[in-house]
Amino acid sequence: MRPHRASLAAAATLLAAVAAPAAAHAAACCMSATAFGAGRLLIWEDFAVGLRTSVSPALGDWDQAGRWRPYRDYADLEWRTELWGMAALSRRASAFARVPWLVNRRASQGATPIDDLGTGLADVSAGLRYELLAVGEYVELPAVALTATVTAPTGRATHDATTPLGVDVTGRGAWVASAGLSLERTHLPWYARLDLGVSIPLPAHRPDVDATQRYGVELSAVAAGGAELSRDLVLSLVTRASWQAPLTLAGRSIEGSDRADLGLGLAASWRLTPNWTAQAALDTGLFLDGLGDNHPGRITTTLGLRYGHF
Amino acid sequence: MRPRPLPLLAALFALTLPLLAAACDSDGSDPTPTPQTLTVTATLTATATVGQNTLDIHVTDPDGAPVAGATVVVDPQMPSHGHGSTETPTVTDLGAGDYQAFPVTFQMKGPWVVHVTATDGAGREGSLDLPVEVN
Repeated sequence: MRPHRASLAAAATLLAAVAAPAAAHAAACCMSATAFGAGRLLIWEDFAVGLRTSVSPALGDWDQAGRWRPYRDYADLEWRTELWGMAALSRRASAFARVPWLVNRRASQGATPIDDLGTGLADVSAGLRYELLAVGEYVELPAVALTATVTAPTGRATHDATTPLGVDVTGRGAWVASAGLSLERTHLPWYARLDLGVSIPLPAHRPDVDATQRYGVELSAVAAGGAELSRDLVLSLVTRASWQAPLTLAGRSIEGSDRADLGLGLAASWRLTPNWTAQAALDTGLFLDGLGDNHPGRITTTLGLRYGHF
Repeated sequence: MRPRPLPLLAALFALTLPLLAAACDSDGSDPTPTPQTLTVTATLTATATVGQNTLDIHVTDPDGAPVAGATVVVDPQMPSHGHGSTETPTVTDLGAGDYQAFPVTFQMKGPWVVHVTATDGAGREGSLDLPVEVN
């Protein structure tokens, strides 16, 4: 394990430990349901739909040795808009789907300056959520939920790109199966949530090299804690860590293709009416050496609107 | 009665002769020699940047003589991200073993590898994996 990976793993463990709801005493409410991300259904809702839009400029990237390199003479911006919905199937089970649309802009002041804008449907996902223990079901225990998600390669992969800078690339070109475990504890006005996930990309054929490629398995952890500042306003601090194993091409592991990422965010959720909730979030990578590996570092601003039917 | 070894060896030798003959040409050399490889060298005309770049290529035979008229294929790949380039470079034969590929497109920053392969009319091949750091 390279030194910066060890520090990433230690940081992720620390974040998880800090955010673990060990001190929570009661599960009284479900305010974290809409605190950030798509979240989950409130216990009295039949279904919920929402629209989120996120703007993410990349400020630089981490190389394969984990060194942070700010961009110069290069701009990379991703604007992602996602329509999502979830519906209760039973008291414990619900189904969800996400349809993302992507707009990419990249500009380079290289030998041949290019400034391109592209757009398209990204990879659509759908899944099931099952509440093993619902919020408030047992006072002593946190809520526990399992999720299973399938992501379809509905976006355009790089080998199908038609623009020089690949701004029309909106997907990875592979099916992905994911599983998640969510723990949640509430002690008014506080809540804490820990989401653990594993994503397993399936093999996909790459026509440009006529070989089968498989992205590496990805492990992720999101730890969040927040407070209900008023009856309708929830503020949250969100930390995230992920690591992706090296990809394989024609059965051969590609050295240096593993990835790691750490991030920090703030999120606000404001219940406008009993049915409508506005959401805002700010997420940033930690732009220092050793706090990322082999990917761009972005600052993401998100606005969302959620309608819950009951 | 024990068989005499000499006639047995002679018979075995006689059976082996056609196989040896099939394996060798008239002067006794291997009939399918490994093609002598070409030597490929390549350099970008400027510091690699995101976008379209130009690659100068030179191909020589085993004696160091320039090889004109070869089929040269250029394929930029970003192995650490699991994808290739968004564009396929066109290779122009400039003569005297010189070739130029454009556009060699790197659509993002990071480590790339440009695979260059050359094949001449005699079937001789050469290849090069040129590592490129796009900053």
